[in-house]
Amino acid sequence: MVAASSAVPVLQVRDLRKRFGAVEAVRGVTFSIAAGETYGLLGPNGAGKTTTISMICGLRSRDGGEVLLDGQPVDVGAVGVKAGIGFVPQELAIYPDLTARENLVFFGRLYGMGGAELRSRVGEVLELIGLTDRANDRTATYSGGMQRRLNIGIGLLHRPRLLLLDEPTVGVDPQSRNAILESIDALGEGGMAILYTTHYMEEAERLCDRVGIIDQGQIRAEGTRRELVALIGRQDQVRLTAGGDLVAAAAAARAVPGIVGAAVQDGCLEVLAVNAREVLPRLLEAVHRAGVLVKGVDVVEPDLEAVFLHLTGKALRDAGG
Amino acid sequence: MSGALKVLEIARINLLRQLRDRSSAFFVFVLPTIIVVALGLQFGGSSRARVGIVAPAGDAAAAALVALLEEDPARFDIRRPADVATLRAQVERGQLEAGVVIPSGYGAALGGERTVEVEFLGTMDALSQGIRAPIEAAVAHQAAIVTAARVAAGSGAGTWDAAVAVAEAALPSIPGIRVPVTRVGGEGLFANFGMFTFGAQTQLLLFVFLTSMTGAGQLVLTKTLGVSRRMLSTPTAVRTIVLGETLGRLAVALLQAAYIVAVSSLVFGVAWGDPLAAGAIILAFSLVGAAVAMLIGALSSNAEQASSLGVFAGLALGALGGCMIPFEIMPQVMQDVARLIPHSWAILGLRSLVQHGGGIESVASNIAVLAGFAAVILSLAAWRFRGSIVR
Repeated sequence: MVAASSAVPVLQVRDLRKRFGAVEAVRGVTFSIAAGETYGLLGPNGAGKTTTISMICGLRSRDGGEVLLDGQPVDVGAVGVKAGIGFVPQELAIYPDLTARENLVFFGRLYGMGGAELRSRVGEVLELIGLTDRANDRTATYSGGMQRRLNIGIGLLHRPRLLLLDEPTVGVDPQSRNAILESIDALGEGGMAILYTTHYMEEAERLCDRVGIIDQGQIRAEGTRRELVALIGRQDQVRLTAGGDLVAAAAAARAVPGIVGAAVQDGCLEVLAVNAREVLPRLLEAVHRAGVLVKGVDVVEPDLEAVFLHLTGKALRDAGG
Repeated sequence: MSGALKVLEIARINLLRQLRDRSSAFFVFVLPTIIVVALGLQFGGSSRARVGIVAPAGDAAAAALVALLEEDPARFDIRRPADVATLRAQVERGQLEAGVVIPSGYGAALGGERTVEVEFLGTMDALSQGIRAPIEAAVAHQAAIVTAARVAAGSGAGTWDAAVAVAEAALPSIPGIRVPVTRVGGEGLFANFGMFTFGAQTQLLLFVFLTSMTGAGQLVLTKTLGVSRRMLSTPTAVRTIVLGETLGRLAVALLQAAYIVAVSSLVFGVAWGDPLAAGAIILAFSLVGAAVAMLIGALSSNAEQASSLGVFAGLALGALGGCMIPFEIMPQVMQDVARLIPHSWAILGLRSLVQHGGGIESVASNIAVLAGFAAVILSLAAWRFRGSIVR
């Protein structure tokens, strides 16, 4: 992985816009990715991640803005430049009635490969995604994790300059998910630029050199994890495990001086405070007055979840709903 | 890899997926064969009626009557059941179209003074009744000789045998009453058809269309799985994807057609007429099937919807277009409707090649109409399919 500033961008996205009727799904998204860099688009469902990635790989027309791959414009009709892009869609875009090898050969040919080069590369990719032993079985017989790995393998087949991964771990069991993340972690070492969309904060923190936090079609902030966390300043995250009306408790918490934001997440009350130690007694009192019984208190180090909460006023995993 | 090779690759994958589907193999290979045979047994054989005759052995007059019936081998396939009970059973079961019973002592009875009866056995259907007339004509021919001989022998002009000999010799030169027959209207529906021709032609069209419709479901799956959009993310133009998917559907349809033509020709001896002309009609019709499959696949949002629409289109258009019953026996208004259905143009073309001969020029209008159907439907399908993957 390399620092973004020291390398020439492989991908440049400028002021990207897309409207669906009255809804402006993507509103002026701008970012760039350098060779060997993994850039994460972190945001909840419906934030505009998939629409953005679809425009970047020329699947969807755009209403405004520009996408350049190594300086070449990318659009629906720009066929040639797509040879430099590997796309791994969110859905399992593979033929279930074909084997892994047949799927790879088919897409390899569409990427313009053939002959011995294709055969050799298919073998390499099968090895990379750990499917060599099952290469000649129909993919309908695979587990969800194996299908996901093949889904990623197809995108890697032609050694693209830019790999687009659209939430590649959705619906995957923890073990397979870890295997997928490990293999993606290794990809950037080959000089490939990677755009990774996710709504899992842990994935963005683990894989990405830089992260763009996207919400309602806009990138609200971008930078390295350290840069983004610094945006919160001295804010601490307090997690209250409690029973009762947590929504009412969140509203009560927001009214407490020194509290920056509060939201309900995973049955807990997540609170951002300027100084947790100082504000904690007033917070507990306000929550108690809201009729909520506090069972536990954790003060946690700020992370991207906290950054998202700080920037949008809502929790990452609940924002889509 | 060039665009053309990518088109072929997409088509190849479609064909491979179709052949892998075991349930579709039944519909592509087994079911059409069964139905061609069944229709052949039902509608076929009309050009040569199977007539069973039970006649006394060693009876010259009976042998002469049988010989009269055997004079027209193009019309009758004469069978000789062992006895009357067997004959009756075979007619009842449909193994024979009709039966004739010449009684024992037939020759001697003709020399007597009583009326002699030759029994005709037939069901009530039009076919057996149609056979009755030529059999009665043969009996009438022999009756004319017998009548003349009886009159001569009764007038003391000679012996019975001598009178018969004179009558037989003189009859061909004596002017009588003739019933000239003039055919009004077109020729028979199955003129020049073999036993399996009608079934093979109609089932080819019906199954080519229905098999194409299974391709509609596959196209929906390709769409809903996101494979079509993934293809678009590769350096492959939209038109290449559309052409490849269309060629895939066409390949499936042509495979179905080639199978029915091959089996019907090699196993059942069905003639298809001029190969180039028949091939052009089948190709144009297969293109229509592929186009409709593309359209249904592009319009449907799931495989179940595509399957329902496909079966409905396949059966309804097949019925209206004359694939289930000949549209010549439909009311005029339905015959007019049939002209709007591609199947009817294909049926008429294929039938014309068998009944009248002729080459591709004789069915050029049929091919042109089918190509027109294909062009219009395919344009619509390509537009809709493109819209479904490029959003």
